[in-house]
Amino acid sequence: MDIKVTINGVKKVFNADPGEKLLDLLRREGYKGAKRGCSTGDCGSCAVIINGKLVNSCLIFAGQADGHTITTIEAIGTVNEPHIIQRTFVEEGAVQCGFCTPGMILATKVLLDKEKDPTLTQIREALSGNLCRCTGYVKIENAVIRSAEKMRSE
Amino acid sequence: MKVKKYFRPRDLNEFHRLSAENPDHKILAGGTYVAKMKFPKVDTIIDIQDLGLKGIKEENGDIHIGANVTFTDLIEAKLSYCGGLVGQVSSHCGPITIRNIATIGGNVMAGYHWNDTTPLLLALEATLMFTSDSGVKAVPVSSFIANRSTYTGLLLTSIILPSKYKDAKPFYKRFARTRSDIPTSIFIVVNNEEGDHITVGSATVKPVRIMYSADDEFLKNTLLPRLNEVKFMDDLRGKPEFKEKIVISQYREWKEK
Amino acid sequence: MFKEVNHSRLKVDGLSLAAGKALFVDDMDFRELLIVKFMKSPHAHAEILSIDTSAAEAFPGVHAVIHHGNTPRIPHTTAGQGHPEPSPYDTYMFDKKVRYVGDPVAAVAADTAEIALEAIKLIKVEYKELEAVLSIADASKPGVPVIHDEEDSFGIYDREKNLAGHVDVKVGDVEKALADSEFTVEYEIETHYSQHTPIEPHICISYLEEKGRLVIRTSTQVPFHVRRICAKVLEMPEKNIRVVKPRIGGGFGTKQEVYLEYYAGMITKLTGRPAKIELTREEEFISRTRHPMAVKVKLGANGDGMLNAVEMDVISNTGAYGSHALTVMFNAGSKCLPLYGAKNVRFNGSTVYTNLPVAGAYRGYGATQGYACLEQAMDILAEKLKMCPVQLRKINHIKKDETSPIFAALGEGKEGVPQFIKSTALSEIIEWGEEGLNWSDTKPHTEKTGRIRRGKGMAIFMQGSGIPLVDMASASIKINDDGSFNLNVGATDLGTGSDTVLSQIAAEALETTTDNIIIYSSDTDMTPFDVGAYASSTTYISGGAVKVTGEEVLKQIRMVAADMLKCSREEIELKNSIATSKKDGKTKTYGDIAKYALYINNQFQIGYIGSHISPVSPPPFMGVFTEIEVDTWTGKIEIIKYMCGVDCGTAINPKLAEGQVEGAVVNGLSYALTEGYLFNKKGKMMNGSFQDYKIYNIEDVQGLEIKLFSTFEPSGPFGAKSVSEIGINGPIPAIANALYNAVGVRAVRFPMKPEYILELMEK
Repeated sequence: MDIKVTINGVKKVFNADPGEKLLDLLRREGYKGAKRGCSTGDCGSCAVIINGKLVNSCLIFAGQADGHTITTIEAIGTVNEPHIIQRTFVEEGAVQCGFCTPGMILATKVLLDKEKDPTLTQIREALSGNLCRCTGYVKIENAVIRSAEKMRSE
Repeated sequence: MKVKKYFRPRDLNEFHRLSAENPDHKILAGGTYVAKMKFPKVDTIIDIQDLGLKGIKEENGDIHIGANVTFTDLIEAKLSYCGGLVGQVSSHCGPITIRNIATIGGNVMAGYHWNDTTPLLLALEATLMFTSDSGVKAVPVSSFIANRSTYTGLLLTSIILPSKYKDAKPFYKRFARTRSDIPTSIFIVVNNEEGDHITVGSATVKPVRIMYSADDEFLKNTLLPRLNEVKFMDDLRGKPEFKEKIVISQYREWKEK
Repeated sequence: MFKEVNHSRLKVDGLSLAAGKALFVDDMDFRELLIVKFMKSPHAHAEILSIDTSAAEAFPGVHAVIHHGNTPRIPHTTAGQGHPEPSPYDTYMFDKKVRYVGDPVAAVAADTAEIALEAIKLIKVEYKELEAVLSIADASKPGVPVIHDEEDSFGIYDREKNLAGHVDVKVGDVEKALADSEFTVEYEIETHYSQHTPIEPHICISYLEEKGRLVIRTSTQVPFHVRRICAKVLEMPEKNIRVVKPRIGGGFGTKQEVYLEYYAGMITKLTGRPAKIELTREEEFISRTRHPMAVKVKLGANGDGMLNAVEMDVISNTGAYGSHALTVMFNAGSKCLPLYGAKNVRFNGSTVYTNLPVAGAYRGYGATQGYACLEQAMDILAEKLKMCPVQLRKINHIKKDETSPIFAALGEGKEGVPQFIKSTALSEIIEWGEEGLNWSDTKPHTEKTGRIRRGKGMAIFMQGSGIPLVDMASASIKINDDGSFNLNVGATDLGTGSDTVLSQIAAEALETTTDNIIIYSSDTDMTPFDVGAYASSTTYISGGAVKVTGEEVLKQIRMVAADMLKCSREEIELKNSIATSKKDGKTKTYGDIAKYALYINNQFQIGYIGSHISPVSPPPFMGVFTEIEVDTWTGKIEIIKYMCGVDCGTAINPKLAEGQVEGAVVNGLSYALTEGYLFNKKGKMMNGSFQDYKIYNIEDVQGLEIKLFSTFEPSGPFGAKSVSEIGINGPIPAIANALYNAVGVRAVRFPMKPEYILELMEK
């Protein structure tokens, strides 16, 4: 079946099996920043933004995304031109193994697009679907706070 | 077995036609439950996102919630109905990545996982609106809970919360190991003209709703015996006896308020 | 004082990870890739009477089916330890017997995972079920079934008693000292199963490179051990295997195991095609786990609180196979007992087999389990002595220039090495915690009332830095035309930041900046040897190798610079990638020097391969002070404050070092309070998902206060000691002590979940 999406600003048509999950499609098509950590929607490593909301791509069928707008980590920034959030995550020591990081950064992006000055509760809620076993979340929380500060002063 | 067909009907007629043509189908709402199954043992998936079951609206004090409304939608709607209870309960239905796609209708029909929803609807005496090719059917949530199997295969289109709880001041407690864990026990009290009604639920399919009476022996003679109906599971979230103790603590907390 | 180390330089792979560009094992595409899935034992203990794979082999899309009948039978250990491994050789690629629910019976390689799983259903296996051993208590009872009754395994201490390993070490006369002590304590606990849950599960891909050699791309902490163990099990020379570790998504010890790579290698050998094994989250939970342990501690002291005697009895459960069986158990003693200066010490340890999931290395490595008991016993002793528990620690803990006989008596599965403490901030940490938590205001539990009760608890800890005289690391550095350097290390960055830390050490040693270092790590063809990332060794041991290598390269730079600037070597000053002649102030950049050496005169490659081992393993130290709230109606524990001070010597990268502690602490909190295995009566793990096995998310973390205390460890690179493991030891004993202070009950089973706390309070 055809899946028509706007992905990272580009209109694309992908072919998918009826039972295929969006994560499998994305990774097959080269969007490797979405990671597979559990396949049951519990860890958030596969998170992408669909129509402005953070969604676990392992937990939806490709068909559910048909007609929608998807943003993956690949569209947020690059190594040479990172987004403020990406740079701040690195500066604050919020990246350890980095496997959860794309999901964390997308979660932060969704939050900061909506809330310029989020409360701690809002930050924690926004990142609640993303598990990290390396950092203990302390530096991730700091990175979100610092990113918000920097984005406000831009 | 693999999923062989995936449909997204544009309207109810198409939905009914596809359901009839593909008896071995599963209705997909948000998908968090269906997609979680390693290999959904169905031939066909019917995705209902295009059926327009998305709205939340107030009519004569009643709240109409489309079955495909997500928990995030319910939180963002900031309903003042019943002291904001609907948003509050929704905020506990999994972490944000789940709430963004899981729908109230899907949760009611799956009857599992973050099951704060069914107790909520039971507490508020909600009505479930089902549709089939033979027409629309309004079902009190209590009847649905009592006899779930009758409704499998029907399409839940919307949920109506009655106006009588519009200004109620609810009491809501949930106990879980971590903030976004599946609840060990949910305890909701709402009041109407008859008095206080206690609803107790858990990660089981059967919550129970009990009329409170200000009698010294209420806990012993009424609440605890009726907890049997909840059928607390003996699982990693605790033994049934422990879950009962949590209910008692929630009851005590309500009494002290 | 330092220019590159002791500064929080940006993680060298940080931006590529944050951009989603860094390549993990699964982020490269391979044509014709086969997916390998395991058929797993449904029984905890059974003999395989027959296996018929013909239908599976005939299933369209299946390319190979392997099992005990068509693979080599080579006894080995999956523990990725140095050669010869101190773990028993009791494991086979496949055996005729299965020893836990989930033990591989066969593996199927197919075009897709679905096909492989369908084909597995077609394999017919006839089992003869055997009685299963499902607890520590049952393992050594007379008449229990022998789990490893095969004839060709070796290194098992006493197979008839299901004993994988055993040790009994005595210093002084503990029995007499206990009998003579005015105050004694005996305390016993049992710790629980838990899993590392790296967010990236185990994964490896094997393929043949153009010359026909086998390449294994794997998420491992130990690439060189992977090569050695795979060579053995696959009966191939090591020269025909290359192991590459790309970015890996966390390990915490579970990727110090070599037990998937050879299956993939076997499939590639048979089919010539690339083969991938990726564990599902459910499978990850029965991959490798933490050794559950029954720990008993006896303490004896006089009225002044000075410890006379410490005895520790440990029975460790290694599950079905003895991976790290001996060494994790040893570590419960060797990393705990030297903390206190008793003259009479005994450590009696056994490791038993059970028909439960296989244990292995896990951050903390036995010390976590030992401290769970020892530090509670210390509190019980303080109460008996009517002494403040902080004071009891203060007078007994090991101090600078002191030693413990345990250092020499207990090592890594054998005797250890004697050593003196040359750096410690433990006293300062204790004072910091005491003040920060207002310890003097602590009231006993008997004075507490009401539904919510607060309690304070503390505990102190040490760990080690590498395995002395065993762990070897090496590094190679060469200069490039522009004065930048390639640093190649065998050391394995599993997300810890070691690529960054080692680059900083190189930069410091080379008088250059970290951004001038191009690091490449963990590739058995390209990088020199390193034992791998375990035993808190990378900063200390691999860092030592990088430092000596950098220093040797610097000598060569000095020599060339002296030639260029026509002065003596002593007259050359090297700073910030520039050589300056003190004679006339003339300068040459590292780029000038490199080009001169490569192109102009007496040409040679400035470069060196250096190695390092350490005769000692200087311990990092930690003090934990916590305040909790206990809900006496529900039994739920909430952390109000968790103060954790760590002395890791000089932190090479303070931000990354803090991150190591924070990660370990939160992992430990989740282990102490929510994580646990639920087994059914047949020994099957029932909660193998993140939904049912709760690890903390960001909303569960509260009240953390982490502080590094800087010291200078003379044996470490630029004063560094280790930091990665110690943090995980804190939560169980500190919270258990706070629990007692709050409500007067002692936790002896874990996790400390509400149901259990209520049970304790009702007793």
